[in-house]
Amino acid sequence: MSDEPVFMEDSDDDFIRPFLVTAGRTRTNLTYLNMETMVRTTGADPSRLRFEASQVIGLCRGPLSVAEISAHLRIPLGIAKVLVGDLIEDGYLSPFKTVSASAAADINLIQRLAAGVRAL
Amino acid sequence: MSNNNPASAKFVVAGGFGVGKTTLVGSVSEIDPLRTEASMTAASIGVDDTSQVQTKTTTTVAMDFGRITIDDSLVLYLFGTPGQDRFGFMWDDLVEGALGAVVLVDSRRLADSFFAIDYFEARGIPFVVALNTFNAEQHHTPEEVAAALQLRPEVKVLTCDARDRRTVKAVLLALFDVILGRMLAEAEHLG
Repeated sequence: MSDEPVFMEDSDDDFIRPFLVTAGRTRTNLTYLNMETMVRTTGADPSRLRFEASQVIGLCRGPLSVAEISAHLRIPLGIAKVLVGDLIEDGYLSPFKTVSASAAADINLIQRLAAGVRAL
Repeated sequence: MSNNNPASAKFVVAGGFGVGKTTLVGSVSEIDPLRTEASMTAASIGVDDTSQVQTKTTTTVAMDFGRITIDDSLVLYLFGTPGQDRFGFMWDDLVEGALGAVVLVDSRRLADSFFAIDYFEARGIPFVVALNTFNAEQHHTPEEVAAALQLRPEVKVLTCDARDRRTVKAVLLALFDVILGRMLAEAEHLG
Protein backbone atom coordinates (compact mmCIF):
# COMPACT_ATOMS: atom_id res chain seq x y z
CA MET A 1 0.00 0.00 0.00
CA SER A 2 3.06 2.24 -0.04
CA ASP A 3 2.67 3.00 -3.72
CA GLU A 4 0.98 6.26 -4.48
CA PRO A 5 -2.22 5.62 -6.46
CA VAL A 6 -2.03 7.29 -9.85
CA PHE A 7 -5.41 8.99 -9.77
CA MET A 8 -5.53 10.19 -6.19
CA GLU A 9 -4.53 13.79 -6.87
CA ASP A 10 -7.41 16.17 -7.16
CA SER A 11 -6.15 18.12 -10.15
CA ASP A 12 -8.38 18.09 -13.20
CA ASP A 13 -5.53 16.80 -15.37
CA ASP A 14 -5.73 13.41 -13.74
CA PHE A 15 -9.18 12.83 -15.09
CA ILE A 16 -8.41 13.42 -18.74
CA ARG A 17 -6.56 10.23 -19.48
CA PRO A 18 -9.12 7.73 -18.17
CA PHE A 19 -11.83 9.25 -20.30
CA LEU A 20 -9.61 9.12 -23.37
CA VAL A 21 -9.05 5.43 -22.68
CA THR A 22 -12.79 4.79 -22.81
CA ALA A 23 -13.66 7.34 -25.49
CA GLY A 24 -15.55 9.39 -22.91
CA ARG A 25 -17.79 6.60 -21.69
CA THR A 26 -18.28 6.13 -17.96
CA ARG A 27 -20.65 3.18 -18.08
CA THR A 28 -20.49 -0.27 -19.59
CA ASN A 29 -23.48 -1.74 -21.43
CA LEU A 30 -23.09 -4.92 -19.43
CA THR A 31 -25.28 -4.33 -16.41
CA TYR A 32 -24.28 -7.60 -14.75
CA LEU A 33 -20.68 -6.45 -14.50
CA ASN A 34 -19.93 -5.69 -10.84
CA MET A 35 -16.63 -4.87 -9.16
CA GLU A 36 -16.45 -8.44 -7.83
CA THR A 37 -17.22 -10.09 -11.18
CA MET A 38 -14.29 -12.27 -12.26
CA VAL A 39 -13.21 -12.54 -15.88
CA ARG A 40 -10.69 -14.68 -17.75
CA THR A 41 -9.14 -14.56 -21.21
CA THR A 42 -10.86 -16.55 -23.94
CA GLY A 43 -7.66 -17.19 -25.88
CA ALA A 44 -8.59 -14.78 -28.69
CA ASP A 45 -5.47 -13.20 -30.22
CA PRO A 46 -4.95 -9.90 -28.35
CA SER A 47 -2.23 -8.55 -30.65
CA ARG A 48 -4.49 -5.84 -32.14
CA LEU A 49 -5.43 -4.44 -28.74
CA ARG A 50 -4.05 -1.09 -27.62
CA PHE A 51 -2.09 -0.48 -24.47
CA GLU A 52 -4.59 -0.50 -21.60
CA ALA A 53 -6.72 -3.27 -23.07
CA SER A 54 -3.71 -5.50 -23.65
CA GLN A 55 -2.62 -4.90 -20.05
CA VAL A 56 -6.01 -6.15 -18.88
CA ILE A 57 -5.63 -9.25 -21.04
CA GLY A 58 -2.15 -9.82 -19.62
CA LEU A 59 -3.56 -9.90 -16.09
CA CYS A 60 -6.49 -12.19 -16.76
CA ARG A 61 -4.92 -15.53 -17.68
CA GLY A 62 -6.62 -16.82 -14.54
CA PRO A 63 -9.91 -15.54 -13.12
CA LEU A 64 -9.56 -12.01 -11.71
CA SER A 65 -12.16 -9.51 -10.55
CA VAL A 66 -12.79 -6.11 -12.09
CA ALA A 67 -11.73 -4.53 -8.77
CA GLU A 68 -8.40 -6.38 -8.82
CA ILE A 69 -7.80 -5.31 -12.42
CA SER A 70 -8.53 -1.72 -11.36
CA ALA A 71 -6.13 -1.97 -8.40
CA HIS A 72 -3.29 -3.69 -10.26
CA LEU A 73 -3.41 -1.34 -13.26
CA ARG A 74 -4.15 1.69 -11.03
CA ILE A 75 -7.07 2.79 -13.10
CA PRO A 76 -10.33 3.96 -11.52
CA LEU A 77 -12.96 1.31 -11.04
CA GLY A 78 -15.41 2.85 -13.51
CA ILE A 79 -12.77 2.87 -16.22
CA ALA A 80 -11.81 -0.73 -15.52
CA LYS A 81 -15.46 -1.69 -15.85
CA VAL A 82 -15.77 -0.03 -19.26
CA LEU A 83 -12.54 -1.63 -20.51
CA VAL A 84 -13.52 -5.07 -19.26
CA GLY A 85 -17.03 -4.65 -20.69
CA ASP A 86 -15.60 -3.85 -24.12
CA LEU A 87 -13.24 -6.83 -23.96
CA ILE A 88 -16.14 -9.13 -23.10
CA GLU A 89 -18.27 -7.74 -25.94
CA ASP A 90 -15.37 -8.15 -28.36
CA GLY A 91 -14.79 -11.76 -27.31
CA TYR A 92 -11.44 -11.37 -25.53
CA LEU A 93 -12.69 -12.03 -21.99
CA SER A 94 -15.40 -14.23 -20.60
CA PRO A 95 -17.18 -13.26 -17.38
CA PHE A 96 -18.02 -15.59 -14.55
CA LYS A 97 -21.02 -15.80 -12.33
CA THR A 98 -21.53 -13.74 -9.19
CA VAL A 99 -23.26 -15.47 -6.30
CA SER A 100 -26.65 -13.98 -5.47
CA ALA A 101 -28.60 -14.21 -2.22
CA SER A 102 -31.81 -13.65 -4.18
CA ALA A 103 -31.29 -16.78 -6.28
CA ALA A 104 -32.46 -19.88 -4.43
CA ALA A 105 -30.25 -21.95 -6.73
CA ASP A 106 -27.18 -20.29 -5.21
CA ILE A 107 -27.79 -21.56 -1.70
CA ASN A 108 -25.24 -24.38 -2.18
CA LEU A 109 -22.61 -21.88 -3.25
CA ILE A 110 -23.33 -19.74 -0.19
CA GLN A 111 -23.04 -22.79 2.05
CA ARG A 112 -19.68 -23.55 0.41
CA LEU A 113 -18.57 -19.97 1.04
CA ALA A 114 -19.57 -20.24 4.71
CA ALA A 115 -17.76 -23.56 5.08
CA GLY A 116 -14.66 -22.04 3.51
CA VAL A 117 -14.68 -19.09 5.91
CA ARG A 118 -15.20 -21.46 8.85
CA ALA A 119 -12.12 -23.39 7.73
CA LEU A 120 -9.87 -20.28 7.63
CA MET B 1 -14.55 -28.77 -7.01
CA SER B 2 -12.15 -28.08 -9.87
CA ASN B 3 -14.76 -28.90 -12.50
CA ASN B 4 -17.02 -26.07 -11.34
CA ASN B 5 -17.15 -22.79 -13.19
CA PRO B 6 -15.54 -20.02 -11.19
CA ALA B 7 -17.89 -17.76 -9.24
CA SER B 8 -17.40 -14.85 -6.87
CA ALA B 9 -19.34 -13.18 -4.09
CA LYS B 10 -19.10 -9.89 -2.22
CA PHE B 11 -19.50 -8.73 1.35
CA VAL B 12 -19.46 -5.03 2.14
CA VAL B 13 -17.80 -3.71 5.30
CA ALA B 14 -19.26 -0.35 6.31
CA GLY B 15 -18.76 2.02 9.20
CA GLY B 16 -17.41 5.42 10.14
CA PHE B 17 -14.07 6.83 9.16
CA GLY B 18 -11.18 5.22 11.04
CA VAL B 19 -13.29 2.56 12.73
CA GLY B 20 -11.05 -0.24 11.42
CA LYS B 21 -12.70 -1.48 8.22
CA THR B 22 -9.45 -2.06 6.35
CA THR B 23 -7.95 -3.72 9.43
CA LEU B 24 -10.93 -6.08 9.60
CA VAL B 25 -10.64 -6.90 5.90
CA GLY B 26 -6.90 -7.46 6.27
CA SER B 27 -7.24 -9.94 9.11
CA VAL B 28 -9.15 -12.45 6.99
CA SER B 29 -7.87 -11.57 3.51
CA GLU B 30 -5.22 -13.78 1.90
CA ILE B 31 -3.73 -10.70 0.23
CA ASP B 32 -2.79 -7.34 1.72
CA PRO B 33 -5.89 -5.23 1.11
CA LEU B 34 -5.84 -3.68 -2.34
CA ARG B 35 -7.02 -0.16 -3.03
CA THR B 36 -9.15 1.00 -5.91
CA GLU B 37 -10.37 4.48 -6.70
CA ALA B 38 -13.68 5.60 -8.02
CA SER B 39 -14.11 9.10 -9.42
CA MET B 40 -17.37 10.98 -9.50
CA THR B 41 -18.75 14.18 -10.87
CA ALA B 42 -20.21 17.00 -8.79
CA ALA B 43 -23.67 16.18 -10.05
CA SER B 44 -23.58 13.03 -7.99
CA ILE B 45 -22.62 14.81 -4.78
CA GLY B 46 -24.91 16.36 -2.25
CA VAL B 47 -25.82 14.10 0.62
CA ASP B 48 -24.56 16.70 3.05
CA ASP B 49 -21.92 19.35 3.42
CA THR B 50 -22.39 20.48 -0.15
CA SER B 51 -20.80 23.85 0.49
CA GLN B 52 -17.46 22.14 0.76
CA VAL B 53 -17.63 20.15 -2.44
CA GLN B 54 -19.69 22.29 -4.80
CA THR B 55 -16.63 23.91 -6.32
CA LYS B 56 -15.14 20.58 -7.29
CA THR B 57 -15.94 19.07 -10.65
CA THR B 58 -14.71 15.63 -9.66
CA THR B 59 -13.83 13.84 -6.49
CA THR B 60 -12.05 10.58 -5.93
CA VAL B 61 -12.76 8.12 -3.16
CA ALA B 62 -10.67 5.15 -2.23
CA MET B 63 -11.99 1.70 -1.36
CA ASP B 64 -9.90 -1.04 0.18
CA PHE B 65 -10.77 -4.65 -0.43
CA GLY B 66 -9.52 -8.12 0.32
CA ARG B 67 -9.99 -11.61 -1.03
CA ILE B 68 -10.68 -15.03 0.45
CA THR B 69 -10.20 -17.88 -2.02
CA ILE B 70 -12.53 -20.63 -0.84
CA ASP B 71 -11.37 -23.20 -3.39
CA ASP B 72 -10.14 -23.11 -6.96
CA SER B 73 -13.52 -21.98 -8.28
CA LEU B 74 -15.01 -19.82 -5.54
CA VAL B 75 -13.85 -16.44 -4.19
CA LEU B 76 -15.30 -14.12 -1.53
CA TYR B 77 -14.37 -10.45 -1.79
CA LEU B 78 -14.67 -8.04 1.13
CA PHE B 79 -15.07 -4.37 0.19
CA GLY B 80 -14.73 -1.52 2.66
CA THR B 81 -16.97 1.48 2.08
CA PRO B 82 -15.38 4.91 1.77
CA GLY B 83 -15.44 6.46 5.22
CA GLN B 84 -17.60 9.54 4.96
CA ASP B 85 -21.36 9.71 4.75
CA ARG B 86 -21.26 12.22 1.96
CA PHE B 87 -19.92 9.46 -0.29
CA GLY B 88 -23.03 7.46 0.35
CA PHE B 89 -24.27 8.16 -3.11
CA MET B 90 -21.76 5.77 -4.56
CA TRP B 91 -22.77 2.89 -2.34
CA ASP B 92 -25.37 1.80 -4.87
CA ASP B 93 -22.59 0.60 -7.18
CA LEU B 94 -20.66 -0.84 -4.28
CA VAL B 95 -23.60 -2.69 -2.75
CA GLU B 96 -25.10 -3.92 -6.03
CA GLY B 97 -24.97 -7.70 -5.87
CA ALA B 98 -23.59 -7.89 -2.30
CA LEU B 99 -24.62 -10.96 -0.32
CA GLY B 100 -24.57 -8.99 2.89
CA ALA B 101 -22.83 -6.35 4.97
CA VAL B 102 -20.93 -5.91 8.21
CA VAL B 103 -21.45 -2.58 9.98
CA LEU B 104 -18.33 -2.01 12.06
CA VAL B 105 -19.02 0.20 15.06
CA ASP B 106 -16.91 2.13 17.54
CA SER B 107 -19.13 2.38 20.61
CA ARG B 108 -17.77 5.84 21.43
CA ARG B 109 -18.91 7.11 18.03
CA LEU B 110 -22.18 5.36 17.42
CA ALA B 111 -23.54 8.17 15.25
CA ASP B 112 -20.95 7.30 12.60
CA SER B 113 -22.80 4.08 11.87
CA PHE B 114 -26.34 5.49 11.52
CA PHE B 115 -25.96 6.07 7.80
CA ALA B 116 -24.82 2.51 7.09
CA ILE B 117 -27.54 0.90 9.22
CA ASP B 118 -30.27 3.03 7.66
CA TYR B 119 -28.90 2.27 4.21
CA PHE B 120 -28.90 -1.53 4.60
CA GLU B 121 -32.23 -1.59 6.44
CA ALA B 122 -33.93 0.50 3.76
CA ARG B 123 -32.69 -1.84 1.02
CA GLY B 124 -33.34 -5.08 2.84
CA ILE B 125 -29.68 -6.10 2.68
CA PRO B 126 -28.71 -8.69 5.33
CA PHE B 127 -26.25 -7.21 7.83
CA VAL B 128 -24.72 -7.75 11.24
CA VAL B 129 -23.29 -5.13 13.58
CA ALA B 130 -19.74 -5.73 14.82
CA LEU B 131 -18.60 -3.74 17.84
CA ASN B 132 -14.88 -3.18 17.47
CA THR B 133 -12.99 -3.51 20.76
CA PHE B 134 -9.79 -2.41 19.04
CA ASN B 135 -9.62 0.87 20.92
CA ALA B 136 -8.76 0.13 24.54
CA GLU B 137 -11.38 -1.36 26.78
CA GLN B 138 -14.89 -1.95 25.61
CA HIS B 139 -17.13 0.93 26.62
CA HIS B 140 -20.52 -0.61 26.00
CA THR B 141 -22.11 -4.03 25.74
CA PRO B 142 -23.72 -5.32 22.54
CA GLU B 143 -27.12 -4.97 24.27
CA GLU B 144 -26.47 -1.30 25.05
CA VAL B 145 -25.32 -0.66 21.50
CA ALA B 146 -28.36 -2.43 20.02
CA ALA B 147 -30.62 -0.25 22.17
CA ALA B 148 -28.76 2.95 21.35
CA LEU B 149 -28.88 2.18 17.61
CA GLN B 150 -32.58 1.23 17.90
CA LEU B 151 -31.88 -2.00 16.04
CA ARG B 152 -34.67 -4.41 15.29
CA PRO B 153 -34.46 -7.35 17.71
CA GLU B 154 -33.39 -9.80 14.98
CA VAL B 155 -30.27 -7.79 14.10
CA LYS B 156 -27.22 -9.52 15.54
CA VAL B 157 -24.63 -7.46 17.41
CA LEU B 158 -21.26 -9.11 18.07
CA THR B 159 -18.07 -7.86 19.63
CA CYS B 160 -14.88 -8.33 17.67
CA ASP B 161 -11.30 -7.18 17.50
CA ALA B 162 -10.77 -6.13 13.90
CA ARG B 163 -7.14 -7.27 14.18
CA ASP B 164 -8.05 -10.78 15.29
CA ARG B 165 -8.90 -13.27 12.56
CA ARG B 166 -10.80 -15.53 14.96
CA THR B 167 -13.29 -12.85 16.02
CA VAL B 168 -13.63 -11.46 12.49
CA LYS B 169 -14.36 -14.97 11.23
CA ALA B 170 -17.13 -15.22 13.84
CA VAL B 171 -18.63 -11.98 12.51
CA LEU B 172 -18.57 -13.26 8.91
CA LEU B 173 -20.11 -16.58 9.95
CA ALA B 174 -22.89 -14.73 11.82
CA LEU B 175 -23.58 -12.86 8.59
CA PHE B 176 -23.70 -16.12 6.64
CA ASP B 177 -26.22 -17.41 9.21
CA VAL B 178 -28.44 -14.38 8.59
CA ILE B 179 -28.20 -14.77 4.80
CA LEU B 180 -28.81 -18.52 4.79
CA GLY B 181 -31.59 -18.23 7.36
CA ARG B 182 -33.36 -15.71 5.18
CA MET B 183 -32.91 -17.82 2.03
CA LEU B 184 -34.21 -20.95 3.74
CA ALA B 185 -37.21 -19.05 5.12
CA GLU B 186 -37.99 -17.72 1.66
CA ALA B 187 -37.65 -21.18 0.11
CA GLU B 188 -40.08 -22.52 2.71
CA HIS B 189 -42.47 -19.65 2.10
CA LEU B 190 -42.50 -20.41 -1.61
CA GLY B 191 -43.20 -24.04 -0.81
